[in-house]
Amino acid sequence: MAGAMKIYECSASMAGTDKTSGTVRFKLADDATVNQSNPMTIPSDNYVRPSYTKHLRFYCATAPSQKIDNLQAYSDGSNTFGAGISVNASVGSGFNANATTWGGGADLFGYDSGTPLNMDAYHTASVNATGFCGDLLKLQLKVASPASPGALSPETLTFSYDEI
Amino acid sequence: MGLIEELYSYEIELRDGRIIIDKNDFKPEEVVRITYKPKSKVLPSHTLIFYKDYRYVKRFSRTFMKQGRGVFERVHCVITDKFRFYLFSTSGKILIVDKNYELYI
Repeated sequence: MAGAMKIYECSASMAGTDKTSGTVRFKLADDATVNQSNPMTIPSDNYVRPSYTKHLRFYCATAPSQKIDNLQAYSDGSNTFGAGISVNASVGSGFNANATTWGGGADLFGYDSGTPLNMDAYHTASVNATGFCGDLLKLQLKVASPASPGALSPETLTFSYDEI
Repeated sequence: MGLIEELYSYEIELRDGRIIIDKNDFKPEEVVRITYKPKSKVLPSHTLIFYKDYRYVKRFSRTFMKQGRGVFERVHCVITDKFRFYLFSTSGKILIVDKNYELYI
């Protein structure tokens, strides 16, 4: 039987909200709810305002008959959020409480289908049971003064996995 | 299991006549045929015959999900010693590429 995977926005390494068919919204609060509360604000000159970080992780909802591996994530390679808005990403083995202080990673939009993020670089074991699996994808959005106000059209992350 | 994951199933025929539809309880050199069968009659079936020109190495499927949309494609891959065969589940289209080519869409 084929396995089935979901994407969770994590509140801990093994807990979170199913966002497979949902949206991740960067905010000035540790909040997975997609609403207009705690929106990102545009700072004055010479300052970059970071969002609270987000963690995304694969969740195996239906165990495969054999195994799933080669977990990957990537963007479309094009940041259409507009001037003054960037997103950083990195993959790690553990969960750190979401905060505005991270400041690490690399440009998310530098990871495309040709150079995807390896989502099982740390948790390397193949997936053969239900539950959280693979590494945690850490994301942070940053807003600088050139940004324009208003709601942004969402960018889409693609996730892939191999099953034998 | 969602609809896209169910569009194709496979069967592998071994030299001794056994038909494999799951698991990998066989040696690659025993494979003489692999057939991908569609669940829908509007999609084509595809068969690779391993006779003398190329040999079966392995098979797997690669599922693609877009966050906010879920699964949007499942690509079945057969790796031989000469080329890779990719089958797109949603259209039945195939792609023959270099044996080391990794497809991401």
